[in-house]
Amino acid sequence: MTITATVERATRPIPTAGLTAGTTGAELLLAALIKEGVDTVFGIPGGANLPIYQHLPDFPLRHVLVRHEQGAAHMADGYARASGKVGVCVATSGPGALNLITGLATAHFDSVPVVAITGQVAAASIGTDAFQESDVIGSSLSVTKHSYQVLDATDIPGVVAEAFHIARTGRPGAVLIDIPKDVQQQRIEVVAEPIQRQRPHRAPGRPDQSQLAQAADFLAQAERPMILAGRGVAISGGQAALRALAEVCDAPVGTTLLGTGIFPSSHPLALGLVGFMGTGYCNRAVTNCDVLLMVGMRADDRVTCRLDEFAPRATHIVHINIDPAELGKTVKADCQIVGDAKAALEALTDQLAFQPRPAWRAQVEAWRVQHPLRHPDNGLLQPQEVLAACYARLGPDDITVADVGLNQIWAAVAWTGDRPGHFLNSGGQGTMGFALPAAIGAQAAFPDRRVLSVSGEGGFVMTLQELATAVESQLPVKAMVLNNRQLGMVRQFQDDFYGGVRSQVDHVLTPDFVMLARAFGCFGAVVRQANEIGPALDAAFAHPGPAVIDFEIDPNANVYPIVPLGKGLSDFVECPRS
Amino acid sequence: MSPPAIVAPRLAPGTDGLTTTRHPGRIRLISVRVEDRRGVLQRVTNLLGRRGFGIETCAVGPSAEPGVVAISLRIDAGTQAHDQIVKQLNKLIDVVSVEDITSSATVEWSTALIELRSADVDPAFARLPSGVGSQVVREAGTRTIAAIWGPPGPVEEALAELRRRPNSNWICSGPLAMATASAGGSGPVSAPDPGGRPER
Repeated sequence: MTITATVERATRPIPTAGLTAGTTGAELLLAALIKEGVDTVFGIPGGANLPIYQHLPDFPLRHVLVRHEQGAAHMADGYARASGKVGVCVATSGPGALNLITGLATAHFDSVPVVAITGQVAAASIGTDAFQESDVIGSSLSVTKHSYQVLDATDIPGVVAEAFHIARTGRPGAVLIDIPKDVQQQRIEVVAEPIQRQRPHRAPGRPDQSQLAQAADFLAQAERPMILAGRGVAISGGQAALRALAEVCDAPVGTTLLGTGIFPSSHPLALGLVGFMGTGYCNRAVTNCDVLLMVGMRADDRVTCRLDEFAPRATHIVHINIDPAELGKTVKADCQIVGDAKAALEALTDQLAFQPRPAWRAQVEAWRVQHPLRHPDNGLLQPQEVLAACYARLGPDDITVADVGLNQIWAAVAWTGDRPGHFLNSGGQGTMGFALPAAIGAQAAFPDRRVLSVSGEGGFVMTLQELATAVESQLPVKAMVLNNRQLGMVRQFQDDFYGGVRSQVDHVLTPDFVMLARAFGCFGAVVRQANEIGPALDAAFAHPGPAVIDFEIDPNANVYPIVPLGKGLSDFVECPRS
Repeated sequence: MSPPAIVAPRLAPGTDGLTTTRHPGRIRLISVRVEDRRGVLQRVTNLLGRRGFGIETCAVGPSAEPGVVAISLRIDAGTQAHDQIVKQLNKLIDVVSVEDITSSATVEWSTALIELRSADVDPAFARLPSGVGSQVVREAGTRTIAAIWGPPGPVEEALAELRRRPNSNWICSGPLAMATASAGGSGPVSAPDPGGRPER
């Protein structure tokens, strides 16, 4: 919609060193990416982005050629989650652009800064159903923080600068830039001034002091304080602040799936994962606390389970989030604080003196003993044994990327790291097929670290074509496939919640992953019993390139504890005793 | 087994399909100021739709500030928490400001164009509810186009009456809505927040 007349454009000389008058939109784009600090992009060339690829070799950018655009988006996502920098993916118009959508949704839902650049049919052809035309702006509206269709190449520097600013500022997210092919080829003499806005996009200022004082007062008065923390703490770099506040309050800490790693798993106050498949002791503590502090998290249905039974004994709930729309959306906290997690946590700690809560701590420890994590001991390979052996071979800098399903929960609960950014997974969207490409992206960010992808065989085959990318681009991820020859979480749901009717969950034909790995040029191994785990892992890590290990796990291995659908957190069901 | 019969009236019983008669308790009046950029209306309507809010009316046009477009929305919040309307719209990058101005102090104003037989104009004008203004805009032989305007309730009352008459046609704008500054609205000439938005 343009209602008012277009004002004459303010312009300035091309500011980028090395570019001269007559430069093309594609060159401006690539120069703008360099200016934003981009070193790696993930993508596939196609009809509508060829001008970009024509000039790509002239710029100091590493391009990882992927095998499917969804992989490009997940790689940019994994790169961003691991490095904290903005991830960049590139696709052509039409199917190329639409193939990014799942990956953009995955990143955006989890507040990951990703910029997607899509080619578009020539500007004059937009709206004519031209070959490989798609309305990627319309299609991506609900999975991006903002998007642009650039119709004049002079706008490109300003658009790229604002896109990166928006992607990384405040609550991070996905931003899409759609550029028609002729705009990529447009030769320009000057560029437009940076985008001026009536209300520029900024991170929030300091949290409200009176609300902080109220929250500190609630915590000081609490007999049974509890902290839940999510990815917002990691984004803000607030893990030390979280630890300081927990220790000063003597408050146990539970984390969301995306918060895995923000609180040291070995810390005595650590209660691990909260929610639907959280630990029994964490869910007991949430149910019985009298003051609950939630920080850097949304409190979605996988965290709260039945909302009216969430923290029922809490007389006060404090909720800190950088996005005001998340406050009061599900849990109606009586103290809502808009702001950066780290700043808020530090301010709270400053206002509190150390206060031991021995009775509460003793109760929490009793729950820890009463509701231990356990798994069957039936002689079949258990995923927990596999994961323990994997994690034992990782250093503090190494990275694990989980897929979605049973494997994700097993991997998160077993995680032994103590820093954020080292256990990655798709929390909000729960995108199967995320792990392998996201691990490749994380490996691209940190070539010298060990990067593990942990998935089930169901999710693994959804994006396994990216093994070709990993081999070709020398990104030696190690793919752990927890193979139960089923869509395992669905099978558990069918067994437990849908009348025991196992419907379409068995993978009757599961490929030979060793042959498959070798077909791609990867190391491949299969593990059928516990004593084979260590040698297989050591061989995979000794191999210089990507590896796939097929772990033939107990097909009936479940996630426990689990809260039955429609129930409250305290109604969790535990693993039957062997 | 045959599927159960579903009888879903398009309109709530006793209503005439006019905006002021539907779910009055769920209606929020939202005033949004947006940057005049291509596609901005799509961003606003897409967001409301996907978050479960129904747009009953939408009036869009330029505002006193250059480059800023004003959107007046009547939104059926349904069973959703209506504070999310403002919070979510506020996250759109192109939105300059958004306010929930649902209040008795908010002025709402609708305009309608009526096309009818020239001979019916005077009787139709004579039956207009009080508070509704009227003017003949164009007379072309036996047919006339007239404008009526006023608060949405009386205007829609007049339009409901016209619906029952043959040989007439009308279209109606969604109401414009404006709150005075003292009622919490931004007023017509308020400057943008110099501090920028806290967060989208």
